[in-house]
Amino acid sequence: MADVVFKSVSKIYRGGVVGCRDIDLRINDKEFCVLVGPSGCGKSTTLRTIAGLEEVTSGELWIGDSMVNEMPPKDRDIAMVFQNYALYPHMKVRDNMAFGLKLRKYPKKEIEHRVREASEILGITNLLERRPKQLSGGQRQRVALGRAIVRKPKVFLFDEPLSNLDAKLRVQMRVEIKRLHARLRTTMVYVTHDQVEAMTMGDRIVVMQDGVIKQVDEPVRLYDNPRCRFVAGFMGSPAMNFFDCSVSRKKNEDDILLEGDGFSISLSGIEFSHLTSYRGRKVTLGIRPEDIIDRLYSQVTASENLVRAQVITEEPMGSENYIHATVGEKNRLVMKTSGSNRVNMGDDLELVFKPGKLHFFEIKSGERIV
Amino acid sequence: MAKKSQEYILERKVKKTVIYLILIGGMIITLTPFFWSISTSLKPRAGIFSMPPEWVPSEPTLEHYGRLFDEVDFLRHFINSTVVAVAVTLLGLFLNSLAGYAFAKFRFPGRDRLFSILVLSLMVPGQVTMMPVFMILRSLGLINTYTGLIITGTISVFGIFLIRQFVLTIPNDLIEAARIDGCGEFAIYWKVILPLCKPVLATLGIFTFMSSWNSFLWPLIVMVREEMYTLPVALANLSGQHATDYGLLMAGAVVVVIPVILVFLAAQKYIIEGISTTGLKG
Amino acid sequence: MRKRAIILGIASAGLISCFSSHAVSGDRRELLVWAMGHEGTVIREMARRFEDENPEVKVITQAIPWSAAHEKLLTCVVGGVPPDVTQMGTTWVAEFQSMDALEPLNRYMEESEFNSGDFFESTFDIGYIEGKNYGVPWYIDTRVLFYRKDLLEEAGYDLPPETWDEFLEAAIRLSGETPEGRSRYGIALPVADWQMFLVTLWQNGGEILDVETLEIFVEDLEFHGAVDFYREFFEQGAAPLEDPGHELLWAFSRGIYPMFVSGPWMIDQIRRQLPELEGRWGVGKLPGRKTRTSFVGGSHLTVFRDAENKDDAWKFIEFMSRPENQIQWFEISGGLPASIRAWETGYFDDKPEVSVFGRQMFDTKSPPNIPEWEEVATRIDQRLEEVIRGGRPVPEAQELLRGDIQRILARRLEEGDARVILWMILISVVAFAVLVAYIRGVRIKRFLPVKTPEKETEYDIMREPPGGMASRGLQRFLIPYFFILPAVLTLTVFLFLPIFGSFLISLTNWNIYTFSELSNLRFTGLSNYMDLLNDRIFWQALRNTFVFSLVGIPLNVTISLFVAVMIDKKYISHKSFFRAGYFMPVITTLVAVAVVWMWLYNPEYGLVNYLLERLGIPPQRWLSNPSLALPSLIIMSVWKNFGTNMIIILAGLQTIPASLYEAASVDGADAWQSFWNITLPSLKPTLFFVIVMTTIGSFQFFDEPYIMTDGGPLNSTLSMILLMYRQGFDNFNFGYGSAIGYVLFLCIVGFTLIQLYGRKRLQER
Ligand SMILES: Nc1ncnc2c1ncn2[C@@H]1O[C@H](COP(=O)(O)OP(=O)(O)OP(=O)(O)O)[C@@H](O)[C@H]1O
Ligand SMILES: [Mg+2]
Repeated sequence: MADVVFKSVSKIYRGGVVGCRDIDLRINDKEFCVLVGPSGCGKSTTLRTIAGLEEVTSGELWIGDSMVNEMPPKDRDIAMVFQNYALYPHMKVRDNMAFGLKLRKYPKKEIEHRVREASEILGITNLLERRPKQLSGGQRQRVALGRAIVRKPKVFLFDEPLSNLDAKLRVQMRVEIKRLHARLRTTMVYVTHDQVEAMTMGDRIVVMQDGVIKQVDEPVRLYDNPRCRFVAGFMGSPAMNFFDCSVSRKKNEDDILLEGDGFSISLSGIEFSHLTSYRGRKVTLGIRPEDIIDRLYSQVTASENLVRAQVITEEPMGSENYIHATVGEKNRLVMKTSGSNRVNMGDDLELVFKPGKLHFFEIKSGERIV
Repeated sequence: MAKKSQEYILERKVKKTVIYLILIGGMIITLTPFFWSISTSLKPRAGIFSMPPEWVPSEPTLEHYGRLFDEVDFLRHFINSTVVAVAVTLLGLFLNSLAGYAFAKFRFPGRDRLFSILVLSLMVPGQVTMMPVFMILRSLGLINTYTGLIITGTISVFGIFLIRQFVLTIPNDLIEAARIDGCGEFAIYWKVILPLCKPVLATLGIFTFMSSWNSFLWPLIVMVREEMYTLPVALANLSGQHATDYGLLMAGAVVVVIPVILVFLAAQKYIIEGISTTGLKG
Repeated sequence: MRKRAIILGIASAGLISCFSSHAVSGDRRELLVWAMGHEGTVIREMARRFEDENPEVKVITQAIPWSAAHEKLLTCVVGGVPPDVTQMGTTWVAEFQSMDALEPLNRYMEESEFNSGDFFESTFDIGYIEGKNYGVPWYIDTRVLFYRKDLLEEAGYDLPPETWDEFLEAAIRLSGETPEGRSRYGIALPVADWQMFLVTLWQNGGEILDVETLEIFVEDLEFHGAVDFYREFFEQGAAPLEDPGHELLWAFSRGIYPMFVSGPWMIDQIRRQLPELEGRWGVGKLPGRKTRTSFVGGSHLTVFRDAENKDDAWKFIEFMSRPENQIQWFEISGGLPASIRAWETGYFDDKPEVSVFGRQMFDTKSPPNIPEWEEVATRIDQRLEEVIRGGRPVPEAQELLRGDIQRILARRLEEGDARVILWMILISVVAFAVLVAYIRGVRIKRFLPVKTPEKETEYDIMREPPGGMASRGLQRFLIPYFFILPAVLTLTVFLFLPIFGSFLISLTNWNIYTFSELSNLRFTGLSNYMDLLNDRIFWQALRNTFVFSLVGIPLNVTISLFVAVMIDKKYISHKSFFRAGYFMPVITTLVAVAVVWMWLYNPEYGLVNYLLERLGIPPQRWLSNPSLALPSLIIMSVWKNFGTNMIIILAGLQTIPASLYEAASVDGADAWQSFWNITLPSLKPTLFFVIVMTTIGSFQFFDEPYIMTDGGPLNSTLSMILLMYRQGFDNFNFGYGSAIGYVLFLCIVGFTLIQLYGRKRLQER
């Protein structure tokens, strides 16, 4: 059993800087858990408390059956892969991998066996006699992984391990780490600020902001049901569009009318009944780029609820095209259409927001309106 | 056009030759004292004062070197110098780097203030403290012992400073990785930091060795008895007794200087690197 | 890993197995004998004879260079490891006696066949202090007149002058021009030379002071007369007012100085170096007035109070004092016997020049036997120079000198003051409290009424400690302290405490009297520092140090810049060869360098003079001419040190991007223009650094003058540190010496602050 359990763990640095606060989290055995969030939000801090590299200020941290608050890193049976790999420059790849085992006084044979095994898994058998300086970034990354693997730890920790690699390699390594997880079946905690990485790799994702956890969920559920505006905006690329609008009741009808700068949408149906209590107030409307449809290119015939927009620019990606446009005076939006759908600057568009894909958030707190 | 470029090439050639001549000329002047002392040390007694001077001894002899080791027991002084310089260097590298590492990578109460006091103490001229240090050595019974000379030469604020600056550039990740890999605190220093510090240790080591080997006044005062003299002291002593026996003196000077020159030539790269990065004064 | 462990093991083994300083030598008793300079070497021969006579004793002789003798003796006394027998210069006996370091020898004298009447009285009395004998004369030296017979005859004298009047007259008559057209002076007389002046004073019936009562006689008429007579030589042009800087023997042979006064060693030198003068020179007793007194010097043999083997020490001294051995010694070393009976043997009868010294010895005196004599002598020199060169009226100078001497002697009458301990404790406690407060981070602001809001401390990841620890609890807290402990502990004992200690000392009168009797210690506050301001020699040392810096630094920097720029040219290959070559002097041992350069600077056989002569420049006395000595040292020191700066500048040059030069050459700049407009401005920070480092280095200018010139001639190469060192180790004025050290420290700190400020300004621009 290698669950990692945080019981309202806080880490406050010297001088009162909050690293993370009131973290309550259970990372299950064999789970691949991704910590994600913007820079400085406390992901690394959280990860490092697991490693024992930071002492927790308050709360309890459990790995498996033991409370590890006071346990030095070497006794926690964890392995960590650093962003800069942290390979020992003065040791050969082989020795880098064997270092931890040697320190733990494993028999020579066993060490050799494990190093060979790990290097085969990672395909670095031919690099064993080199020094880190003589390796490419990707190769270093593999060695760093190898160093973690040979130890067969209870928990793997990764701190942005791929951020120094080029885009292509990153995708490749992503897959590889995932495969590794499938093969080793150990608990892995993975820190990244890249939401794509988070989405593709995590069994569960922990989204953090300013030292606190905002939401913990499986990737798709996180995407579809962000619990707050921050999470909604953070996950997905291009990011969700947000508009402030006021809620009112359409005259003589039960429908709800949303009015914002440059658009008005009326909504009917019980799925919007939760908005009724917001009548006369303002809310934030969120809609993902792929949920905006251009009337011209779709079968939608409705003449109602059209949002008029003017194209600023486009980003053709080949298979798809991101169109940036303004709505009204100040509102801007990004929409995702198929690659064949090309526009010119200044074109007027008539857009439809898929009604089932609208998200509503409170203006002040950013909480999702349920 | 072609003519112009030829002119240009010629001009460059001339320039290059002139600069080479200047450099070589300067070097000859710089190295003349060395050459002259070696030459003198090889001349028979009679030839030393010949005028005009002989640049290359016509009948070279090793008699002065022989006298150096027969009459003066330079071997013993050589051993003294070696023991002291080697011990000071090795011990100094160990202790200074330990402290330098701690100052660079640990946070502990008083660290920065203590460090600033260390740096300030660099400005006190060494001769100011000579008498008090002597008294302290005396009360510890260390006058006229290797230990006395070694213990006062081992720790150098400058060495600590140098190591600290270098260790600051070592990423913390490495230390943390080692911690996770299972190193104890001393093992981190010994197995990770120390090997990484090799370049700076080399520089510092060579300089410590040289300054210990070359130092004169302090060994003169601490080593009261002749058999404990280090080489420079023995040489100064020699020049006090045989003020005009230039053959012997030059032979002595050559013997004192040769080890440092060998060390220097062997480790030239590190010295130059160290000097240029730190502005260390020799 | 293992290799490192082994190396470390060896090092610590070396540390532990410190050789014992006393070698075991069977069952023979060891007798350690120290002698200075050349004597230290040749005394071996006498030791062998002594061993033949006393086979149960093994004599170990050790030679001490004269230049380091004083501090060596001092440290061995303080360090508690003195030799058994030591040679001691005549003026030092009183010094060490007053430190209570010497063993009275009366008991031994009485028990053996030793007879004090065998010695010249004047020299035996040197060892007689406060009713006891602390030393036995070993060999003597006295001053006699050396003259050129031929030149004196030319001037109408068949015999050397005997009276003052004759002396002066002859000197005046001999002055003029040599056949070669050089100025000729009747006598080589230094402007300020207390020994010559003392002789004059004694001959006039005067004295400086009474050793017993400490009465001072410098305001007497006899003193006035002596000064007048001495000055007359210079006023009449019979002696040079400004030293023309000739080598004495060379000038003697050219007839520039037909007469000079000197000691016995000159006989040999003239014979050896001026064989062409054979038969044309002579030696005579000094001319005189009331008496024909001369000055007696030489060496004594003494036994230290802490010596281990005093009985054999006495045996050795007694052995050395026997007439036959005194003659032996003369044969070996040329040192003249102190024993009258040795002179009476007839051995010297066929040595006319030498026997003059024997005759002169019956009419000799030694300077007052007080430990402060060296200081008094310095004052005499100073006042004498003021009269002769500066034209100060004699009575005024007499009055001033009296004041000087009174002040110097007053020190021995100073009472100790027990309150010094209170002061020390008080200062220590305050200092300790300040230190602790500082380290614990107390801010002065805290004591101010208005609290300024604290800025959020910047968070600098590099300085942040790497997380986690291998252990926890108290041990974890202590780990960094364990790591710095050996270093900090050693530094505390051997650096911080001594720094503080010498600061405390600088606030006291710590001097020769406090060595023997700690209760003589007094707290004097800042008076040492005040005295410094009035100390002419201190200002001279300060001036020398500045001259050394102001001339040496530009020279050093220019040369290193020049060489570095040359080497850096891209079409120069073999860069590392040149670099290594020019760097070579930096790494070599200064003592060796000094020895080599003394050889180069040798006035007669040195390479420098030889090369200059080829260029038609007359030979110079590089190290003994007051106006050349400092420049000579500067040249040597530049030679030794410019390599360091060259390397630093080379590194700086490497950081200038090549594109800058390329751009300039596209713009049409020639080499010179790109040097001025690109190289120099880009090198500014490097040059700045180099200048600062060189300046700090030259503030601490010490080794070169210490080894090569000992601050002389005429203090022209005396540096601040050397002065401090001399005050401490030669005059035993540790309080005063420490004060100099702290003034220097302040200079360096001040300079560093200016540097920091300058650098900031430089960066702002
Ligand atoms: N050693 C430290 N001392 C003080 N404050 C720190 C320390 N380490 C981190 N912090 C602060 O704690 C907060 C969280 O930092 P953390 O390193 O966990 O962020 P992160 O989410 O990993 O960011 P990034 O994506 O940039 O790595 C930040 O505000 C940071 O400034
Ligand atoms: Mg991070």
